[in-house]
Amino acid sequence: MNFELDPVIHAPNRLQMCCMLAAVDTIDFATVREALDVSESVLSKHVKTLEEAGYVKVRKAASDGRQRTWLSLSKPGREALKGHLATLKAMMAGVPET
Amino acid sequence: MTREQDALRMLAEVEAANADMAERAKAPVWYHPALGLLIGGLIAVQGQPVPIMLAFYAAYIVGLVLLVRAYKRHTGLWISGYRAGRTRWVALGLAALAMVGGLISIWLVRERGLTLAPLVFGGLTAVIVTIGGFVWEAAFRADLRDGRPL
Repeated sequence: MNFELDPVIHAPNRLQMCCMLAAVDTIDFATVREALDVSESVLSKHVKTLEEAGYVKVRKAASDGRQRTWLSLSKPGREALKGHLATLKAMMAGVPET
Repeated sequence: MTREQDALRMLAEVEAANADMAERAKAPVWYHPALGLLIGGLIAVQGQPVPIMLAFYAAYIVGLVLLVRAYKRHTGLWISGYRAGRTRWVALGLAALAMVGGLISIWLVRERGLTLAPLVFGGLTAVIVTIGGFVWEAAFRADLRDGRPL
């Protein structure tokens, strides 16, 4: 099987974000922002990059009288993350990329 | 930084992200007992007059919706109980136990006239589901620790 480091996921905040999304069905934007300790504008850029790659789905929903943005990892995003993590582990094992 | 050091750093970030999620996914302490009461109640009302059963079914649906909303408001996330991993086995096990308990209590009421059976089985189910909720959370943390969020 041929793995490559995914350039979309490789950025540190985006890798962490994808890992968070992989663990859950959906998570709200504010929670991700707090966990990553980044500004809204920085996180919005990351979300946009991942969304444009088809890795993240964005849904807005009203809750308690305000709009909340919910993020979830798409199936392609999940597969991309799996491949990316496998490549990282393979690098640690000293296995050359093919 | 070498390629291996970079990979090690990134894998450490993955581990930190998983550990963070394991902490965030803790339900409020009243969540599992509330869910236990709802599911136990489904069993407890079996054998009651139909209007009472229907009223509880409606309350059950409303209760579930409110619980999910409260969980999402408290944690900022939602996780399906049936997600892949150890958690799926816990969820399926609890569902199976609840179903078997329900069927047995219905049989005991209808065939043996034991009208208190649904209450007893409902109470037992409430306790099992409550404990099961904490077991599920422990399974979720174990899944994340073992790198099985995917």
